[in-house]
Amino acid sequence: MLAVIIAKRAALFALAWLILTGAAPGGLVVGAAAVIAATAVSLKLLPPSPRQAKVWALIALIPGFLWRSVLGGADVAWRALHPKLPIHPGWIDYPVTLQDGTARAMFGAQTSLLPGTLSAGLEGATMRIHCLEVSDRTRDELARGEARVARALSQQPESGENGTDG
Amino acid sequence: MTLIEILASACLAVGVFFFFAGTVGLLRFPDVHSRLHALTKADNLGLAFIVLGAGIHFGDVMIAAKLALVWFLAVFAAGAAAQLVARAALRTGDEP
Repeated sequence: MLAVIIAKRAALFALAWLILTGAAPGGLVVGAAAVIAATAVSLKLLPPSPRQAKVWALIALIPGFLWRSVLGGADVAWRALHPKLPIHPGWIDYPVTLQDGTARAMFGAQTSLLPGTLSAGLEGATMRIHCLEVSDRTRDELARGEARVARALSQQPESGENGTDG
Repeated sequence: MTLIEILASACLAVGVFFFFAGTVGLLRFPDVHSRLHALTKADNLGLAFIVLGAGIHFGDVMIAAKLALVWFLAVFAAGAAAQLVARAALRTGDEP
């Protein structure tokens, strides 16, 4: 399993290098060294989780994520430019069921780009989420967002395992 | 003007509009956290449209891929920074 994870990460870094350098032949040797170094550092900083990251499931999330971040930007632009400034800010303390730190970070980042929600980090297993409009719809949207991350990163949403790390 | 030029210019204009709206939000919203909403979401979208416009303008797959990578890294960094600022503002109080 470790070999597969290393191969996946190295492929990702190699792709980033090829895009950045336009696959210039003169940069390939340096690039190979950089990919090896980046992969080694990533294994140290982000140790592989026993729960599998499904690459295709993650890629499948991209279109919906892009669309919702367009909605998020349009929503906040509308509120900012509206003469009456229609915001009623408040907080939702959202109990996170995702187990891995990576999954939680991804959920936090995704939440911050959705319409009206902004993650302010975790306290234990509770994510403090700032909302421009506190409503049940916002809560439902958060739950759907978490379920999407859980599926792509093979998290078990129903388990009560609440680590304090992450 | 060709269709490509019109399309690229339109994307750039929309991008500038969202940066403008994000800045207005930064100035008008009442507290740190509401202002972060404006910065992360509107500026992310503004950059996306500018990247799209530039990609259409150059019409080159390699340049478009590089621009997309730039956008992804910027969004990633902005999202992480917004979370950190939001968390720090929680600890030190909510004054703008």
